[in-house]
Amino acid sequence: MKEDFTSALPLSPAALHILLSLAGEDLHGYAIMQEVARQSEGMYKLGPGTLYDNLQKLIRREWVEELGRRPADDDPRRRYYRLTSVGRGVLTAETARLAEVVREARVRLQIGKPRRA
Amino acid sequence: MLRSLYRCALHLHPPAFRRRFADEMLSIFDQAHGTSSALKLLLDALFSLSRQWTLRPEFWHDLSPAASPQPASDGIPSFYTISPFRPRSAAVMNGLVLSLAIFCMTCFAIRYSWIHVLHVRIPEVQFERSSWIPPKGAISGTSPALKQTPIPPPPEKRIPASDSATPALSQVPPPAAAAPQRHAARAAGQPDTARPQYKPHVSNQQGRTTSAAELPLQSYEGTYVVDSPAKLRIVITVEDENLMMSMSGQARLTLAQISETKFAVQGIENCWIEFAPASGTMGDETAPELQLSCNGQRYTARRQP
Repeated sequence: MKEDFTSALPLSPAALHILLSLAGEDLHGYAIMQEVARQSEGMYKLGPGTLYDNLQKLIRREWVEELGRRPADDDPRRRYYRLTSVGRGVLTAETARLAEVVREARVRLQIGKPRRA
Repeated sequence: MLRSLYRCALHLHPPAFRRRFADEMLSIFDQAHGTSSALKLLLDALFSLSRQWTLRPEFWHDLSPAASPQPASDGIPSFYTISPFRPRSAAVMNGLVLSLAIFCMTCFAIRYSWIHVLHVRIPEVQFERSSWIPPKGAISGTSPALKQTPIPPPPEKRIPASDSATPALSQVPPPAAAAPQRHAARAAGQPDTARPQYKPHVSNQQGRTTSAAELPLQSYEGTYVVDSPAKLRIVITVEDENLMMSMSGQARLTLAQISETKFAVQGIENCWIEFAPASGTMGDETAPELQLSCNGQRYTARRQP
């Protein structure tokens, strides 16, 4: 049975970028910041305060979970985070919503274009 | 320097946030290059500090250790919190004020109940007459002993004296006249075998006792004179099986029986009459004197021949 995630939408930009960055692989906090900067081509940068504030909320909602293991040669202060199935569902729903917004925007922008005679 | 400030800013975060993320945030700070990046991170930490304390009260306390129940040791129960709920300070203050208000109301109600005695009708009391012990002065027949007896508490404290509230008084059987007879029997050396057992009496609608006629109230009938003040005359009569009292210049009042020899003056609060038991000698079965107690003052009146 398909769950309905529409009540959790829309996501804030920070939450969307964090979920999106964790959609590919498990990452630690600093890697999430770098991934968000890469996704947005440097236009959106997350500070540690904003990142961990959002991570805290996402963990509470069980969209993201913290992993107990980490690579042996890594900094022991780092923690790794993973997108849960619920978080993946929310991200999918948000992506679909954004796609609809983009499609609608394209339609409206196409209509608004002046036609050539 | 900036790292110390950054650590200090992290240390000021709520405990739950600090325990969970402070080390990782510090590791990110350690990877920053240049003073400008460090300053940006410090500024970010200060913003985060204000945000966590002002906008995230639900994350102030770490719930993860409390959520996992601790195993109980041998014989010692362990307790853990299931719900992460923590009331707001305003709610705690409201609860405190409400508790104080309820406490004050309870104290006021207790105090009110002490001051205003509730007049509760007690249906009947089985009065075992054989357990009645006459006062010392009654046996010896001397009045000074009666005078030395302490003033009993006002009957109105327990039983109302008004006409509307005295059916309980009239329900008490009037055994007053039996005392002189018993004393006479004792004086003659006869065993006191004819003691009647009192049974519960039910008042009729007029508030009169139905058993009053069984005992001779006439033994109290007569004129009594108080030596001081100014030869006050108290006339005791029996009318309709009730004792009536009239003083010089005043209306007649009904006496409601309280005990063997004590009668409350109906219509006057804190006022009652106590007859001295008859001596029983020479066939005299009349009360030699009475004591009138009104509002703490006490007068002794002797029977006039």
